[in-house]
Parts: sequence; structure tokens; C-alpha cells
Amino acid sequence: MPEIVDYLKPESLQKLARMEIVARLVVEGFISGMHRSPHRGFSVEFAEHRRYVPGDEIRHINWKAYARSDRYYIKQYEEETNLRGYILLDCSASMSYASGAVSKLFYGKCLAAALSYLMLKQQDSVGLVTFDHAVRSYVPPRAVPTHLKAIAHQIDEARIGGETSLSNIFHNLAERIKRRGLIIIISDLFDNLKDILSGLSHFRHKKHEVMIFQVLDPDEISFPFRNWTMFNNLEKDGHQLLTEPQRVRAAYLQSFGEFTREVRRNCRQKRIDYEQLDTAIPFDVALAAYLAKRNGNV
Amino acid sequence: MPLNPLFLLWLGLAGAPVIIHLLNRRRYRVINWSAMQFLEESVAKSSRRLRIEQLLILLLRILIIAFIVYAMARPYLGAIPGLPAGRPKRNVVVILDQSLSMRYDEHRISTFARAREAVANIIDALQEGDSLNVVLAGAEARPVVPEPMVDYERITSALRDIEPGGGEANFALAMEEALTQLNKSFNPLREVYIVTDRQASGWHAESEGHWFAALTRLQGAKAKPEVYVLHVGTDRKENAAVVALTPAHDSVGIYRETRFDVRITNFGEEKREGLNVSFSVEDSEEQVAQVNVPPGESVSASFRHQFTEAGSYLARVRIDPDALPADDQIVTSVDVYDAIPVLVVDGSPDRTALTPPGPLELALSPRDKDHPDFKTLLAAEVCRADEMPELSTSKYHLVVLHDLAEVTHRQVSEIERFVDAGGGLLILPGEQARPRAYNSMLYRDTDGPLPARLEHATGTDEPIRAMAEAFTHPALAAFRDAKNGDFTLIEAHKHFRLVHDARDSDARVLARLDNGDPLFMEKRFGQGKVIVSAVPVDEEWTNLQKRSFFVPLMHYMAYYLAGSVHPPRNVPLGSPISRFLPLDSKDRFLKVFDPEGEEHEISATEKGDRLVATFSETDRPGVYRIEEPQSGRRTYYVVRAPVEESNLDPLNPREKVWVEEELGATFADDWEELRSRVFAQKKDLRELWQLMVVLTIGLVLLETYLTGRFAKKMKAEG
Repeated sequence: MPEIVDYLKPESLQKLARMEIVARLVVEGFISGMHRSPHRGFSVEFAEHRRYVPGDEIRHINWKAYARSDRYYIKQYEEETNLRGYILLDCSASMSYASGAVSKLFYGKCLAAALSYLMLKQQDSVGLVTFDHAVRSYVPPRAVPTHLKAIAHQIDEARIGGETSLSNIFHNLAERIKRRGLIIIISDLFDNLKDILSGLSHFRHKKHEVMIFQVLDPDEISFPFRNWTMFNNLEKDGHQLLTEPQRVRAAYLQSFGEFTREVRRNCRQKRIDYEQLDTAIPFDVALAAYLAKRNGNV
Repeated sequence: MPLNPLFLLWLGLAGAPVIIHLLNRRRYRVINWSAMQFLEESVAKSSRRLRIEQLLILLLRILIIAFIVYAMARPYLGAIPGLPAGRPKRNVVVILDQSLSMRYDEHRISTFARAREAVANIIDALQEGDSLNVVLAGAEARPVVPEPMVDYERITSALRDIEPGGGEANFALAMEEALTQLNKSFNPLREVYIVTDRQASGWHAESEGHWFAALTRLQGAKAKPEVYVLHVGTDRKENAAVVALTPAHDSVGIYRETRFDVRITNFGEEKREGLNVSFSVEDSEEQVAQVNVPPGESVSASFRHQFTEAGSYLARVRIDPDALPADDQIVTSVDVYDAIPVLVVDGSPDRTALTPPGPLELALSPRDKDHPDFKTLLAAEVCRADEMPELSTSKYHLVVLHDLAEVTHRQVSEIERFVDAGGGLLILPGEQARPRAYNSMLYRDTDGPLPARLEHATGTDEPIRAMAEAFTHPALAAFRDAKNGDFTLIEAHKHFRLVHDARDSDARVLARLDNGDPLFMEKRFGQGKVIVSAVPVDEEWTNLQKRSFFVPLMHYMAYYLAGSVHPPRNVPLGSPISRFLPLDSKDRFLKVFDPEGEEHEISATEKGDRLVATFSETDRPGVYRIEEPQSGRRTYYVVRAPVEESNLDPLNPREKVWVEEELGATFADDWEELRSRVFAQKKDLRELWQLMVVLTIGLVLLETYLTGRFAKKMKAEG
């Protein structure tokens, strides 16, 4: 059974060791662009009770519990940050494409695992949602280090699904996720642009911070094909197109370029962080570079 | 219809680019693709442009191939209003009649000279670029230059020394050669002009067999030529000709006069009266006779001459010259002998060297007691049956088998070889003869030399007489006139029944007895002849030897039978001439002089019991001479033109229609008519192949440019 190590090789972890994900926006009154996870005290989320032992801070005694039980109990709080992360991993059929050894989904899984690791390391809570045209799995965000295992398990369980429907997912999740958080979208974004942007807007409307990692295969970026080719649609059975790719390449690149430019522009407008990742570049290298850039800009 | 319409069948090749395109489309790879939305968009955006580009390139490639194929088919256009008339190039072949009749001289100009003038007119009427050749139509067809050319001067120069030949014109062969010449040039218009006096001889019109090869080629020609027959000379021609000169006997010898029979034919429409006929042999004094020849008829005349020495001679007859002098004289080669050696093989059992000569021997070598120096042509030698020597035609001309009981295998072999080589054989079975032996050895069910099967001799109480008939056979022709001998006086008390097998077409009955049984029969065997008699020279069988005409009968038979020993001296045009020599002859290389005096050399090769030397280049009529350098002997041969060439009758209306229909020919009575019909009319024809080639080059350049441009564009956009 794959373990998190399948997705996070030691060398990758080493690369990411000094990285941290810094929330850019103000969440719950914190300094804009700055986030530090207090290791002590500053909990806002009650996690559990324990018996009072001498030395515990008096102010943490749960007086209601004492009144009820005539015993002293200390409220134990999760180390709560302003950052609650939700990793949205696209598992639609288009994510299965692989021109080389690494498919987009696998790449996305690695990314999700790395991001989960980072967030948990910096004691932020992180959850995972896998989806295609519907949510396939949901791991609520937690901040405990052991949560990584649950996430890893779910990452591993994630399989290629059917068609993409990003808009539905985004709108759905935007409603479901009550507390503001950091929405990390790992997807190829191969869907209707207007619908995608509408979903992203919903997230922003709910005051969430959004990061998009658009995972793409080199073939999708450069479209290097020649000679007559029958293209079978991964997401729609029976949908085919026979063409001479070298003859439509220019138009493809233009179309693709326009799409990504539009996404980038809209993301910029909406103050959504957008990064295009090429599966030819090792994810850890790409992620480290991205985070360094992002942290530098914060 | 283009000039090479068959090439249009290759137009299908123009579909090759489409097929290649479709095949390429089928050979695709499959990719399971994710970014379909962009691909669809790009295809939708580009499809129209791509389709146009693809179609354009495809169309250009189709057109390139189609244009090349069409250009090779050599299309042409007719008149285009507003544009000057086209000048199609001609490929012209003139068939020039070179037959004997073209020597016909009318008003001091021969028909051939008029024909040469007509050819010059045709050449003058040709335009620049028209190719030309002339085919001489004689017994063979010969082009004056190897292939059609635009160097008319060269052709004119080649024609300058050409004269008519001595035989007929073979127009079928000439047409075949003309078609061969036409195929050597690529000019669109093909024309054949037959310049002729329209004499029927040579055309063999209505003879499908004669014209089969030529008509097959004509009908199968990819572009049928236009054929014109240009008449030169006039149709009305008066002509008398000496058509035959023959010695009366097959073997001509010294010691006696030889009669020469001459036949003169008047092919014209006017009677020839008081026509002088003069006869001479070598330098002898001319003998002259006068004849009257009605139109369309023949008359005969006879002359006599006595040769004093053996050898080869030329006898000539001339008549008063007319417009066609070539047939107003005739020459015949005659071999004159001082002896015709005969071998009599006597089967009588009591025959010895001291036996006095019998009637047969005497008949074949008659001696006049009162004139011991008197000699005859026949020189008979007698031997016993068992002493029969080797038979060689160089030693004997005739072998007589008299009353042999039977023949041995060796003798049969010798006899058959001898007769096959040209020797004569006279068989007189008598009392000794065993029919079964004769039949099994010499008859062999028609395979042997014996003309008939022998049945046992039958005797009759009353003698059977021979029948008198209107004999035509050379050996018996003299006895048509009873004054020379009354055959009915021949009686046979006993005779062999000669049974003639109808299957044997070489055997025939020469004379019969009045009971219907054959008296004499003849058979041709190889080069020689055989006569068998139903009776021997034996008074117990017949009274033949007592008849006064017995000796002349024997002589005539002997001369006739001995006449085939040597190859013919007078042959038709084109037939080879041969000389036989004995095996021990010192002459192995002989000289031949043709009618123009040109010398040739031939070699003598061994064939059977003799040497044979043959000369085959006898395509010119006239006297040929073969000389044997070692022995000094000289032999004359005469190659004769066909008699039909003297008949100047033109094609009759039915024959003319046949020529028009089968050859698609148009007759023109003279040059003016031809000129106005053919050369005055401008054929408005414009060949398009050059234009097609230019367009094709343009298309290729355009295709190259567009392909490069589209590729560059693709690269730039990519």
C-alpha cells in the first residue's frame, strides 16, 4: 500500500523543509500578508478537556465543568491559526493524461501531499477534497500532525473519475466551507472558463483565499504532434477527432494561450494566486520555486 | 480526339494524389487526449483554411498529372475565330511506282519521269517542318532514306539516279513500309501519296490475301493516314510485247536444227500489222518474219537455228519498238549439247559384251551405215543389270531400265538419288520383270519413282492398239500430227497393266491403249522425271520398234527426260540461279556478272553427288553470266520480268472502288487536282501539347511555392 513517502520522497521533503505556506490575505483579523502560527496559547478552537495538574494556567480551567463535576478540568485547545487549508484535488479523466512517466493526477497527488505536509508542519489545519464532476471524498481540515496520514490515505485512494465540472464543485464547496480559509486548487482547469471563473469568484466572495495550481502535461502546453492522429477525448467516450495536428498547432496554441492568459488575468483581478506547473519539472522543484516566489512577494 | 488517344487511358493516374491523401488519412495513430476543448476550437478555427489549403494542393497535383498525360496524348484544336490558322506539321510518305510499265514513253517523256516531276511538286508544296520520305515500290519496297526527314534536298538527290525496275510494283509491301515510315515521325498529319500509272498489275486489288498484312496494320494504326493515289501518264496505252521464246525441245544439241517458238501479244486496242519479228542467236545472222497481231490477242512465230558447238547460248527476239520498249525483246538462255549420255541397263540374261545392239540401243544411238561420221545427240552406253555403275548426273542424263527382272536395294538407292538430282529415267519392264519386285522396290505405294503399280502382263489374242490423241506432252506433241507418226499403228500383244493411284498427283498418263489401259505414264520425282512403258522393246510384246516413228519417239522421250539434269537457265524475277559442277571440279569460287555488268562471287558447295553454286540477288531482269575461272566455262541465265507488266490496263472501276474503300484512298487524276484538293486547303489544326507543358511547369512551380509557404506559415505559427 502506498505511503505518503510514495508521494514525498525524502529529497523532496528536504527541499520543502524550510518552506512554509504563508497566507497572503487577512484572515480573522491577522496582519495582512503575514501569518505566524503561535505555538502556544493562542487557540481559538476548543479541542478537548484534561484533568488539572499543578502548573496549568488557571485561566484555562473550565469552570462550568467544575460546577458540574466538582473537579478541575483544563480546556485543551488546538493550536489554531488563521489558516485553514482545503486542498481541492481534481481527479477527473483529463487528469489521467501522461506523455511521460508521470500523469497529471500523480503529479497533483504529490503536490497535495507536499502541501498537506507543509501546512501541518506549520501547524495549520488542512483538509482534502477529491472530485471530478462531484465530490468524491472529503477529509475535513485538522491541524494535528497525525492528520497527514488520513490525508495521505485519501490521496492514495483517489482514482481517475469522469468528466470535469469545476464550477459545480467550486460553488458547492464555497457554500459548504463556512470558515474562511485557504482554498488550494490542484487541477488542469480543463473546463468552461466562464464557469471556472464564476466558481472562483464565489470563493472570493466568501472571503476565502484561493491558490490555483494548474497542472499541465508538456504535450498540452506545446502540442508537438505530427501526422494524422485520432484524438480520443479522455473525458467523453466516443468523442474523437481526426486531424493533422501540425496544421492546427498554431490555432491550438493560440486557443490554449488565450485560455491561460484569461485565467491568469482573472486570477490577478480576483487576487487569486495562479501557478501553471509542467509535469516535466519535478513537483518539488516547481513547488519550492513557487513558494519562494510567493513568500518573497508577501 | 487527340493524336495519341490511347494515352488518355492514363488519366486515371490523376487520381493518385487523392488516393495517397486518403491512404495517409487512414494511417493515423491514436492518442487519448485531455485538452480536447482547445483542440476542437483550433480545428474549428482552422478547418476551413486547412481544407482550402489541402484542396488547393491536391487540385494542383491532380492537374499536374492530368496535364502531363493530356500533353502526351497530343491534343489539338480546330479553328479559333479571330486567331490565325494553325500550321500543323505533316508526315508525308510518297510511294513511287517503280514497275516496268513506268518506262512507258509517251511524247518522249517516260511515265517515270512524269512521276519524278509529281514527287518534286509534292515536295515543293510541303511546309517547313513537314517530314518526308519516298518508298520505291518495286518487287520489294525500299525507302530512299532510312527515316522521314525535313532535308528534302537529300531525298531529291537520292531520287535522281533511280530508274524503273523490271518487274511489277508490290503496292501492299510498299504500303506496309509507308506505315513503318509514318511511325517514325510525330507530326500530327499523316499522308501517303501513291504516284503511279494506275496499272492494275501490282495492285492485286480485291486480293485479301495479298493485302492482309498491310490492311491489318492500316486498320490498327493509331492515326490512320490520308491516302492519295496520284495518276501520272495516260490510261490509253498501246503495247505489244514478246512474251515467250522457247526451244521446241527440252534438250538442244548440235547436229540438228532446233526450232524456236515465239509468242507475241498485243495488249493494246489497235491492231499491229506487219510487225517485224527478228530472231538471232549470239552473233548469228538475224532472221526476220512479219506478223499481224489483232488487239488483245497473241500470235506465234517460229525460227530455226543449228548450233555447231556445245555450250551456253543466248537467243534473242525483237519486235518493232513501241512506247514500252523494255518488253519488245526477249532473251532466252539455251544449253546446247554435243551429246546426251544415256545408260541403258539391260536385264536380258544373255546379254554380253559381244551381244549386237538391239533396237533400243540403236534407237538411242542411231548410226547411218552410209555415213559413219554421222553422229546424233544421244550417246547410249549399255550394261548388264548386275554391272550397273554408280549413277551420276554429271556422267549420265538418262538411264533406261530395260527388261530388268528386279532391282536391288543398292540399285534403287542409286536410281532414286540420280532421278532426285534431275536425271531422267525410262522404265521398260519386259519378260524378265517381276511385278511384285518392281512394286515393292520402285513403286512402294506411290512413294517410289515408278509412276504406277505393275500388274502381271496380260496377253490377248487380238493385239490392242494405241490410241491417237491430241497429245500436248512435250515428248509426244509431235505425234499430234499423224504425219509424224500414227500412234494407232502401235500394237500390243502383251502388256503390263499400269495401275494409276489417284493419290499420286505427281503421276499422269501420257498415252493409252484403246482398251483404256495406260501405254505410257510419267511421274516427277525430285528434280527429275520418270516414264514407264506398259510394253518393252520386244517384238513378242509389241510392234513399236518396227514403226518408223520408233526412233523419233525414243529421242523425244530421251530429250524430254534428260532436260532436267541442269538447273533452269531462264527464271522469274527474284528466283535464284544455280550452277551444278562435278565433285571433282577445280572451280570452287565462281564469278557472277549481273545485267549491269557488276561482278559478284559465289562459292560451290557439295550437295549429294555434285557441287552447287547459287546466286540469289536476281531482283533485276536481264542476262546474268556465271563464269568458272579454272575451266573457262561460261553459262548464261536470263531473269525475266513478269509478263503481266506488259499489260498496261489500269485498275478497272471495281478495283478502284476496292482501293478507295479498303485503303481509304482518294484518286486524283493529275497534280492540279491533288494540289487543289490537298495542298490548297489549309488544315486548321493547332497542337496544344506545348501549351500543356508550359502550364504544367507553371503548376509545378505554384505547387512548390504554396507547399513551402503553407509549411513556413505552419512553422511560424507553431
